[in-house]
Amino acid sequence: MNVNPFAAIPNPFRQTIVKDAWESLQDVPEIHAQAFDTCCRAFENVRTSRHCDSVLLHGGAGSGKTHLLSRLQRHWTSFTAPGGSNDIGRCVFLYCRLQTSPHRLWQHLRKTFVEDLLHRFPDGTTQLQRLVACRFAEGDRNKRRPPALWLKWITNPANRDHSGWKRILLPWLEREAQIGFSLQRVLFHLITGHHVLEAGAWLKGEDRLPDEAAARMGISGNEEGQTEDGARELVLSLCRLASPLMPVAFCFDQIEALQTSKDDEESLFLFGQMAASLFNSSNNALLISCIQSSVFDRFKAAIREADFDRIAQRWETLNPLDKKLAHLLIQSRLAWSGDLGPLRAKHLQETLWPIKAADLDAYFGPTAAYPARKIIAFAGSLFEKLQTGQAPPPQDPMEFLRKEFERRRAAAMAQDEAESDATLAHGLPLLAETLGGQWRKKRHPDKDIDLLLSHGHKRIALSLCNHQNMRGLAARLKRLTDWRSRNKRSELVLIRDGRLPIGRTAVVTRSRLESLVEKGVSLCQPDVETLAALQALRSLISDARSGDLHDGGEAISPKTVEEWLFQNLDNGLTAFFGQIVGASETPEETDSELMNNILDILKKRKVISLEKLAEEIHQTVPLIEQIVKRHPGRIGWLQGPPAVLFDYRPIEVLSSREEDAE
Amino acid sequence: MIEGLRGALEGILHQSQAPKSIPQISEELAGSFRISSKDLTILLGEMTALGEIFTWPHKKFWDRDPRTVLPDLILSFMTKCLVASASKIKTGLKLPLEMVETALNELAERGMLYLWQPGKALYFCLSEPRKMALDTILNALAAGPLTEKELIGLLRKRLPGYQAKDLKELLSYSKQVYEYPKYGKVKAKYGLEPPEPGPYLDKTIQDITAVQRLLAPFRISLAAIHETLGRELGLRPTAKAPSPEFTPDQRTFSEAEPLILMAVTRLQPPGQRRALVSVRELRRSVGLAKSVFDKIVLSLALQGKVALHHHDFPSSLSPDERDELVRDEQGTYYVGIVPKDIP
Repeated sequence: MNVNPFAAIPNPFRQTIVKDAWESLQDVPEIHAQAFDTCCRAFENVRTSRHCDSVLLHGGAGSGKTHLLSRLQRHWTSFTAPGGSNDIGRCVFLYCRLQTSPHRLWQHLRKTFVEDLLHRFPDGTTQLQRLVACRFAEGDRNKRRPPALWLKWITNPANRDHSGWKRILLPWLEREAQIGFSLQRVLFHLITGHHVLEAGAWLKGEDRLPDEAAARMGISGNEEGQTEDGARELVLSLCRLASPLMPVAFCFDQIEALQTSKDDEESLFLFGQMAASLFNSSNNALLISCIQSSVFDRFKAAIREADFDRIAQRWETLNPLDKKLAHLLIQSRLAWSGDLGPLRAKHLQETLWPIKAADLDAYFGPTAAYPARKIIAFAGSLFEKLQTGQAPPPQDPMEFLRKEFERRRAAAMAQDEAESDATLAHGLPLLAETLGGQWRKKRHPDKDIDLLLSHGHKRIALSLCNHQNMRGLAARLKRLTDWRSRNKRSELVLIRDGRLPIGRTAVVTRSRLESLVEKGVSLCQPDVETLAALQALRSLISDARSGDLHDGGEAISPKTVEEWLFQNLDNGLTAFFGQIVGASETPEETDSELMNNILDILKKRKVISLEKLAEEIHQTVPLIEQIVKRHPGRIGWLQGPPAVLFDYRPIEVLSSREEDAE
Repeated sequence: MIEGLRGALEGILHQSQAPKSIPQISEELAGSFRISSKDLTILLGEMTALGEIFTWPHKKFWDRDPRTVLPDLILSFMTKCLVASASKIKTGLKLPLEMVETALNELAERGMLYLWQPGKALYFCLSEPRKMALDTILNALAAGPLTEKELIGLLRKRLPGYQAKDLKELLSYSKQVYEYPKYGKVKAKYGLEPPEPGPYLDKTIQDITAVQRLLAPFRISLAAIHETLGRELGLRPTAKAPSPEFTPDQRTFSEAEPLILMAVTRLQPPGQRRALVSVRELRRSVGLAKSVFDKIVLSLALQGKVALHHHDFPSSLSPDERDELVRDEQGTYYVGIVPKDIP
């Protein structure tokens, strides 16, 4: 019996997306070598000139932007100091994927910065420890110890309680880095290996630190909670820890994911401001920003020219790969497959074996060029054909989206409450865009209002109250009470993760919350399933915007994702949005039956008066009105008089159907 | 005495620049040699019979053989008129047509005269008619551009019966003359230099003047409008004249390729050779027709001179937005362009 030798071998082309720059991947250095050199030159410039530098990388979806960042990460963090036995790296490498609310950019950067600062290398050291070792070596006037030896000393558990720490480290943090007291203390604990979890949580901006933990670290709690200004201050303080010998390399990926809609320029503007601020406020930072070629025009137009100049001191392009580079890419993937090795050894003359070079020639023609991801997907389909004897089945993007949504939702179920605030801040505008194109989304100048939805005369202010620190929550509720008294024409909706309790002892918090609810303020408490669905929604849309959502090498557009979400949206999410914009109560089960009846009639009639519809389904007008208000993304409603309902479709769906018809 | 008379006659005919009739010869004879016309006729007949002199038409005599001298006479005549019909030459030389035609045919066969036959009438030319026409055209155009009608009028004075089709055919081979396109009220013309844009911009200038008057209350000067136009059109006043080695189509391509590459460089920040340039911006900058621009951009990519960046989701764009991009045969829309380093 003939056994297909490839059947049991994993397809070496299966992985087509680099999730983040910390992933260790096999690399083909010839690909985007010029872009790599430009980034290295910019890096050296930061070290020698003691000024910031920046590189703007642009390329199509799947061109290898994240892959290049990963190569830079390995290059800069695995440098062995001359004469040293340990890798100490050459910089603090920071990878920031911008899947966040544009109004929380600094908070997101703070969290990412700290997570990467505490990134642990295979030798057990963190970037923070390496940085401190480097700075100690710099300050060692007698040059007794090189950085590698300092690192060894720092990471030696026997030295954790060495008296020298307090004598040297704290004064240095105060004098050199000019950072505040609390941050000094927290860094001291992190560097010396004390209270690492608590110190890390504080540094990231999490507010769940109990008072006792704060007291143990010798710091006081923050009643204000985390703010953009506070996060900015902390990030810039951390930047001051860097030196010319160990600069900070900020790598910003997926800038497009900041956009809440295709036409959203504000988020790009805010990114420009943040990056320029980093550039201006530090002497030892390198900024690398990745943007898709197709968004480039909008990006350039959206941000201030002065900010753009700071972000794009150097430009680099990630061009599609020609046949020669594609050949190298495929050959490398095949060579890395251990299972294929013995088989390929018998075909040394055919560098692409078992893939036929003629297939690649036919794909490319004389002059074509393709992004790396497309080439890998193409080679993957050829390999799959070898495995199964037939071409891969045609792609079904809808089925792919269904599976992907489910996969992401299941993964998000494991997220803890600390992530809820970020999920809601970023996800709610996207949900509003998906469900109710008719709702205008605005950022309110008041820091306690996270999102303002408006439609006609209706204005709904959303405030995220996911504080774990009750004093912080009580303070916000107090401010919201004041806000409410000043803004009586707007409805106020408080949103709090349903898993977050308000303790019995938090008497003031409870009382303020009850008082607000009595005054007509709504409180929405999404459960874990709803939050997981929202997380899946925002990650799907963000990946699609960044060109990183693809099925078999073909990028799936944000429009396709939004259409699919509109038609297949999770009931919990629909009800959650309805609760936010419609009524204060949770929608009842009877809603769904009534909704089905209403939608059925609208599907047939397209436009109908509210009164007539109520008559047809034997319900009262106020009840129908309530239901319609709860589902603004599904039913069109003209207030009138007379009030008219219509079969609502977002403009994107309509335009795509028109195009299909053409 | 007879011998002396013979010598006198030979002397008269030798010194003559043309054949002479008997009365002319008789008049020139000195008094001692004067004889009657009858005797003179007989004597000249005897001398002719002996081959000492030659009879010429119209009862004339000369010491030169008409067969030998006629071609030179014709060529000498042609130097004065350049182009002439056989009958005109006959009239000019006062020789029988038959004799002249024979000599003309011999001259044409020897390549000393050229034939020019625009219609039924046949003309003889001292120079090759095409060359003569081209010289005429170049001389005429040296003074400035002329319309087709003006050129043909001039040519007909030199080459009778010259037609417009002859002119077009001739200029299709010529690489020295530019045909200026007709545009609005500007007539088609021919010139030795590329056309001046001035006459073509009369209406535009009127429009600009009107815009300037309209914006004058906002203190928008003509200089500001000029600057804006320069920026928007991306045209450089020092653009090179078209190379005469190319046909008009080749010229468009060969000129537009460097124009596009130069515009790409101009749109890049200084020193940033790897910066992406928006196809929309580039299109606006060079101001070429869409089809020409698209063809050249794709051709530059095929030649490996530039890399094109595609748009991942063109269906998310409006038709107008898509139209600003470059689309290839596979339906891929390109949004950005970057020059490639030639290895």
